[in-house]
Amino acid sequence: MELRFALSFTVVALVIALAVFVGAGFDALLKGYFELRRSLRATSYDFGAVLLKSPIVPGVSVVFAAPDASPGSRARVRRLLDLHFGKHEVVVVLNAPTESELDLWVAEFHLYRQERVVPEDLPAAAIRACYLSSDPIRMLVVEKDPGGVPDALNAGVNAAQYPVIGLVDGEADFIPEVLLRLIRPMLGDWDQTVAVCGVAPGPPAPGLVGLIGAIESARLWLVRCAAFSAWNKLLPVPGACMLVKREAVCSVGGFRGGTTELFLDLHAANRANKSPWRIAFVASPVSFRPAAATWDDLRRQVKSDQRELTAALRDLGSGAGYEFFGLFCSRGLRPVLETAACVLAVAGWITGLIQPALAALVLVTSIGAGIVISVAAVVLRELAESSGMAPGSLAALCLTAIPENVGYRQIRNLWLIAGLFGGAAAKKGK
Amino acid sequence: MTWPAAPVLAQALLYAAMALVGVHLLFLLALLGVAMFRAGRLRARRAAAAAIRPTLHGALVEFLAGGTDDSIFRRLIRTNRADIADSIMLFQGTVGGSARDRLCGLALDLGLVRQWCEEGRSRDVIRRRAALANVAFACVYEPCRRVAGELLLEALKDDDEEVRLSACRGVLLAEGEAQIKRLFELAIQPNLLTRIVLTEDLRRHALSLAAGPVRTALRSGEAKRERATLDILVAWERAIPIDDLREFLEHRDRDIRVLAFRLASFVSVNFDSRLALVRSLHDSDAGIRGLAIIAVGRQKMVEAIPELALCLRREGLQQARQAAAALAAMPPQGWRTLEELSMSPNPVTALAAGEALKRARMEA
Repeated sequence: MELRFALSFTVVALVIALAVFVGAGFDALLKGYFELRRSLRATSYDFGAVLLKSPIVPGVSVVFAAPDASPGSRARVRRLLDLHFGKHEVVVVLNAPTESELDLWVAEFHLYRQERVVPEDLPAAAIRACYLSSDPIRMLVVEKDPGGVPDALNAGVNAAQYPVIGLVDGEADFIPEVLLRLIRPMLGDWDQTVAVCGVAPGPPAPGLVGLIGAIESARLWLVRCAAFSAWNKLLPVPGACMLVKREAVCSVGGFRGGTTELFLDLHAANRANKSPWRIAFVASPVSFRPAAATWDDLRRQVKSDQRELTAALRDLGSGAGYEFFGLFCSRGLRPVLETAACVLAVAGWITGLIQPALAALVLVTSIGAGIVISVAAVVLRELAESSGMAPGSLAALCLTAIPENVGYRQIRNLWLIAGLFGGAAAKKGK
Repeated sequence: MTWPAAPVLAQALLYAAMALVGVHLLFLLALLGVAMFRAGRLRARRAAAAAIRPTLHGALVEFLAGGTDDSIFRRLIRTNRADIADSIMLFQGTVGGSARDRLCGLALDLGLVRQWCEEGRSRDVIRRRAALANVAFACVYEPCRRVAGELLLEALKDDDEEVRLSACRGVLLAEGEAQIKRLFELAIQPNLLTRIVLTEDLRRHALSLAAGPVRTALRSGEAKRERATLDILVAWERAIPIDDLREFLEHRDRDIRVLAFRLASFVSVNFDSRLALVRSLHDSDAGIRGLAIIAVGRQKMVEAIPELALCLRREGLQQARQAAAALAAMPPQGWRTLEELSMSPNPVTALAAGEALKRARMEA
């Protein structure tokens, strides 16, 4: 009798917690929808031609910490060099490359060594050499002693000559005009806007996986981009391109992790200084993460995002932790509680320890409410800005909410839990 | 809660949750219907526009090349008004002179200018922006200006930044000198976007502005106004007469100094300013020294050759190269100095001087 009571009580508590998460999620979706409408209406004409020519537009140094000298990395640098902007340079940081790797870079971009004094505004491993290209491209290659990605990014910021730093997520696919579009909010409010983040959902891949990926992208865009931007708590999401003022990066002591950590530090500094800093969000399609086409892609995307978030949020102090408590709950707590609730409900129902109605209530709060959230994400995204999809495809996307919440959602929860502990372990190992 | 009541309560909660989910789903399905209808209409409109646009563009090219046949536009103006307007605006950046007048005249004949003027007073900001951008372009043509009346001047006070910017551009293209001063004042306000957009359009009024508003702003004593004005002058890249640049070359605000040094590269400088430039070659700020070296080189200040030679001996490679380039711009004395310095025991000096001399001789 006591076990029955304890189990029922636990399930009821879990249902209440899940209902709170659903309510908060729906509220965030609505907030995101209104912010997207506001944001997309705020800028209609990009003055691209004027910005491209004007010498008043601040220059941008795009910093890229090359993971290796693979053809992929070199192709990425080529794409960064092709960006349309009046005054920009690409700073490629090579983290202790081997001789053969360095030769590959030198051969590809016709590099020659140049003596250069690099300021030491941010802590970074020693710089071995700087290289410029003999081709008519604005590129600086910095070869440095071994260090992690944050160290390489700090070295890149030190070597950057312009007041604005451009950062591109490893998974981002971007348009050549991305810098012209991103700089616009900074120009509108130069004193207060310290950073800009631009991303939009990409075109969905074909098949069920592609449709599920599209629903995930819509949710991410509405909640973690638009709604967080409305609360001035915007953090970079996978596939985003960013601009950050160099002096803001220096004021927070540079990178201590990836871009998520940097943005968290900017928010923390904003709160501590009580300075009215703003991180702007560009909702137009300037950059996106390529859609997942297979289950493996989907799993990798979910887990890597979760790992990054967990690693970043774990290092926050109590004040900042409170600021992003909602994000922690939705990404860290909800999957655990939901999985526990489902397991207890099913087990309790099979063993007869809990009422069938209570078990069904868990399913309705988890699956039923999940379907509502997914359909709302698709509909609100479409109403905020037309995706260009055919009416039939829209209906199919909404119908995908059913398999997404019956089956995939439960598996995704397990991936999120794995990512949560993976991120924590990675941080500990560091 | 008593135990026997639990199943009833659980059932009630279940029904309530199901009802809540059901109501939300129904509402969302209704919204989905709206979204599907909108998506379908948008796709149909895009398909129709894609079909008609090439024909319209072809006809416009012929019309702008001197053709007189505008029948296709008159025939389609009722059914494809937006497509015709978009096609006309597509050519705005590519035509000038009489072709631009013909384009604006066509828009006026088809009633588009009147429509844009009406939409320019709309409460919908998106519509107002698009309309004002079009009116601003059309107002280059005098008959269009008469139709627009005071619309552009009224729009200068609009709440929306883009509408104001379009209105400013229109006024700059259409109105006389009277409004130029007002727009210059707007350009030196803190908003960088406004400054960037207006600087480009104010460029052709540079000389008349330099005599009045620029001088006033530079003497205002307000660092922000001075910085903004110098920003604009640097962006114009024109040899504008500036009374006394020295004051800004030695300003306490570093940003103002940087702009003044950049400006010193292409404006005529008086004796005091030349002295200030030479003095700055010994400035404690390496960035300022670098800019001073470039300015001295551009001004071909032969009297600064000894100081440049000193820079070439003392500075790091980057600034030694700049000093060498400055010397290379001043033949024959500068070249003689470079020849001497290329034999220097200091490898940096010898390298920079040798490189610059070689380049200068090749270019000569």
